[in-house]
Amino acid sequence: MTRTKKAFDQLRSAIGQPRLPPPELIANEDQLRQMHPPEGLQQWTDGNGSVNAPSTPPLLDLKQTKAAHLWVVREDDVAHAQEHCAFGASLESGVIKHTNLTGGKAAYSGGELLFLDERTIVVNGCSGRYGPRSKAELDQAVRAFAESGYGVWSMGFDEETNCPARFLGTFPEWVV
Amino acid sequence: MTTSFIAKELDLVFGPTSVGDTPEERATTSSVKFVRSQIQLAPYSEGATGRVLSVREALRTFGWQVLRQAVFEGSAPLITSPKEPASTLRTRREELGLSEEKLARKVGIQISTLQRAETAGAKTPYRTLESLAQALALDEQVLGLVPNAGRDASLGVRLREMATSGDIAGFTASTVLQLSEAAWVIARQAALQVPLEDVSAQSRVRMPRHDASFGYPAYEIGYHLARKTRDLLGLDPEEPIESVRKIIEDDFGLPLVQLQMDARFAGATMANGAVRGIVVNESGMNSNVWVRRMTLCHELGHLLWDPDDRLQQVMVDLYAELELSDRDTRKDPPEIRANAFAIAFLAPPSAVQEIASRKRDPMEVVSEVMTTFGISATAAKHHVKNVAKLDTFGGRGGHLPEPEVHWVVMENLTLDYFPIKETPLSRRGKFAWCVAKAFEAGEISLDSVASWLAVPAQSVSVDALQLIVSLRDDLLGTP
Repeated sequence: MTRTKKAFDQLRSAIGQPRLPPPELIANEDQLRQMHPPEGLQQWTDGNGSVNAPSTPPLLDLKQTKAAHLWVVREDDVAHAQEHCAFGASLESGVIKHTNLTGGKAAYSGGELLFLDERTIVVNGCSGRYGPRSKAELDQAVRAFAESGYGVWSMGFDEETNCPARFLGTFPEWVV
Repeated sequence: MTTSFIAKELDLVFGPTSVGDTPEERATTSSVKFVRSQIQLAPYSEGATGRVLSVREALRTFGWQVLRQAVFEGSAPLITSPKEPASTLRTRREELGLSEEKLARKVGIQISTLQRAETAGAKTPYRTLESLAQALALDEQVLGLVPNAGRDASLGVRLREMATSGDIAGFTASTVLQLSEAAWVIARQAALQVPLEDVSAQSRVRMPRHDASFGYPAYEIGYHLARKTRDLLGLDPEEPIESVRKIIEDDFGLPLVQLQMDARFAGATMANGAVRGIVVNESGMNSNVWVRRMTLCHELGHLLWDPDDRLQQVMVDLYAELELSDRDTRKDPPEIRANAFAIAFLAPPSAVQEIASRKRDPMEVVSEVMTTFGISATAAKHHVKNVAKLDTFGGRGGHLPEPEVHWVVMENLTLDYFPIKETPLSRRGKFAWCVAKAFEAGEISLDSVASWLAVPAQSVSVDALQLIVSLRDDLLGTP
């Protein structure tokens, strides 16, 4: 069993049932089109597992956030793809949505991630369709990414708005 | 297709029971709430601890696309640069020449909290950020979203220069902070009055065109402008003015902020961006309501009639100057004109002459002018001397009257009797009325009320807000 499989199975088990995206949030039919690997869909795979905590957290800028990937924990894998991509540009919305990673099917969790390098990522839980509904759920998701073998910065949960924090404006926290 | 799609989005953002074809129409019939933090806006949900916004203020502040994104994606960013809002806050504090300690003390936070707020990337509760923004005369609603948060750089520089030049005795960093917050009140009140136009007119009389004539004798021009102002207001040429506050706030719709400042200062005119307002000191000689009425009229004279190039961002008047006669040539012509405007506006010269024609004793004339028109002894003595050519400074002093409670009530009741005790003086009066009225009209949330009245949320009740509205309306009439 891969690290990814083990880590995200634990997450699936903790969450229980996958959730369907709220139908009212589907703005157009394009948002339900399933993306495929030739169009840029990727599966999350194990990292090499040993990343020391950096001394200072990164403060992301607008340009970096344009390279964000969307991620979704599906029934059997974790899918991700760049939000701004050629496939997305062909859709009515101009970018992909989390439902393009699932074809509109149920999923356990979702958000965005950025690669700082091959082994280090910044993760948030920003997804209107599948996003974590609590700090605990977000913490479980980012821990799964860390246990899959990556160094992970989490943007954390914004208590003031009661939803996951976005990339811009605050320092992320290192996930140990 | 497009119409039904938009209708679906409108339903989602404003709730299915809201009605209308545009976001603005929907917002007026929606009870949906949003909540914000330092970095983002989200639909309100149980457990959120940030600043709650009514859907109308959220729409007005951020626009349809941001609300739509917040609903469809769970949140919408309110930050356009990772350096914000830290950069704007620090730049503004330095522009005003304020130390960390001074600002932190004013806002009631630790210096370390201020330092965090000025550090890019550090998390700070939004309520702390908005308190800082208000103290620095920034638009806290767009802090982080709009570069410089609506800051009036000229105002900042002018305040710092006034504090550091040493030209005005007693003008310190504390004065800068007081006037800076007053500038925020002035701008916020002007912004609040816009949506309130629908429920009640916020100014009855249009502001006149400025008058650049300061020729000799300046006092005669001041008298002329006083007559013109009475005409504009539809006042009888000799009618006593019951409430100067009402004329400033309701008839001309000008923000008026009352403060307790250094005893040397009488009042000031201020501009924050395109909005002008009046600041009046309640301390010092202005603690006498008759003196304060003169100060208010002096500042009104400046604001109504002085050309823009003379009205700098801040003009402070000292008691020592306001005490002088309008015939005293030691003063600048604009100050002579404003003094003459004030006295003639309150006590029309023809009415003073009529009183003088009936009385033999100059001090009896002074006394009647004071009680009839609500002006101070010094002002009345100068005025009677100038207009009726009576010797009011020589001879016997005699007992001169003090203001009856009626005058205090008409000028100050909405400040003195205020149902929320923790609200500072600077945020009472018409400003508080606008806040309460905006809440009543569904324009703002109770949380915004608490922020703008500078009190904890638990100190605000719907009953207290109703009382703020009714007290002012009953006393001064609905504007």
